[in-house]
Amino acid sequence: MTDAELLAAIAEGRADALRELHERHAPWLAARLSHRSADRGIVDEAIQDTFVAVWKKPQAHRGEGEVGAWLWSIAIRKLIDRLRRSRAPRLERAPVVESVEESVLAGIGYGDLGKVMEGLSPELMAVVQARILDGLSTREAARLLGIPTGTVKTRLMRAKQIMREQLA
Amino acid sequence: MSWHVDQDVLHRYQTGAIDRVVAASVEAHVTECAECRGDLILDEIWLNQSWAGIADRVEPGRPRVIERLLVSVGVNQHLARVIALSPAFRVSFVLAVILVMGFAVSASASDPNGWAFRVFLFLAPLLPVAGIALAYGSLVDAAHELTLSSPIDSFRLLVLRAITVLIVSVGIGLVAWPFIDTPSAFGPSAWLAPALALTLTTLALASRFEAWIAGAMVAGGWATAMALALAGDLETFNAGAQSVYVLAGIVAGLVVAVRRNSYDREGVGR
Repeated sequence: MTDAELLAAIAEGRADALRELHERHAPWLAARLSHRSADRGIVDEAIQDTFVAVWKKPQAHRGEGEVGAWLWSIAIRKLIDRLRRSRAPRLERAPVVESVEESVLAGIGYGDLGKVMEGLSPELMAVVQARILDGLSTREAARLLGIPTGTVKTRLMRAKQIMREQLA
Repeated sequence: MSWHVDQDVLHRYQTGAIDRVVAASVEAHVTECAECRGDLILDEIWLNQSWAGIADRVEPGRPRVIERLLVSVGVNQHLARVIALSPAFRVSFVLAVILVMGFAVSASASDPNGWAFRVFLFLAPLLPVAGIALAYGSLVDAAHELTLSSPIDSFRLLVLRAITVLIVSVGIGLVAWPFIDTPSAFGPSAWLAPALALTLTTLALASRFEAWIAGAMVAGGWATAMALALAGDLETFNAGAQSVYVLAGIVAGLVVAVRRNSYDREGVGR
């Protein structure tokens, strides 16, 4: 069964299909969310919220595009919701290890973009990640990173400028 | 896909010990590559715990008799579940209806002044209102999470439940009716018309307030009207009053239809 077929089965109220989808996607979604928030409890809650949301509205995925990308767009927003609700959001960055494996990067196909991103400071990188790679709005990115929306905008502008210079 | 993420990189990504740029590449790839998703280290215990939390919120336990019955006659599985979870089929609700009807049957024979009948006429139309009011909101609805997570919008859910509540209470009422010693001028519509009017008014108010508040308001209004009516005779239920109920029902029905989009707001209409 493809992911899209699972979604069709979920729309018919089949919980076993939801379970299969959860088994396929919850691990990587959790891993990716853990790179956005260090609070495991909040990540776990966001994962559960995500699949309950899928159960509620499986038809929201209209058959276009990767189910994985669609699930991520739900999961990252559920994480932001949970972070907002928790009284003291503890936003920690995932640990950064110095060695950059350029060969891996090139193999993975990010190519120029990967190289360009290397030139960014961790702060600018975080904004690029939230706004460009995670596809969040300025407000959502501000909530996720715990910084004002104005800061998100200026950092994104600076990041774009640096990336343009590196590409030139 | 022609290339895949190196296992070691994947696992370092999972433990968080990886550079941000590499992490971004891994993420972009894994989002679209089922094969690499399968290569992630799987924590079975975590997966089962995560699923258990979701199952609690989407599965209301074993399917009920009514659900299976509905499915067997061709009703869509999910719709059947939602209907089966309607308060109309809760033991407490059915018992309450039977109690009120039983009271009317037993008391009416030995009550020449018609007071038992008045109490019946007061209580019977409130039964469906109570059924609707007590069924929504997190305070009272054990299946609240399911209600929230069902793929049916709040408005259709509310109407669906109102209909099942009406069918069950009116059904039991009609069975009991021939055994109730009524003044000759009264037919079953004596309580059917106010029951419909009060139910529709509850639905209309539920577009603005929480269902149980809407129910309490209707019950309060009905009690006031009854208190005034009881000072006189049973005029409240004669033909003249009947047309008032029908009119009120139509107005409330129109309000429900016009405000149908207001039921989707959080905490309203549930």
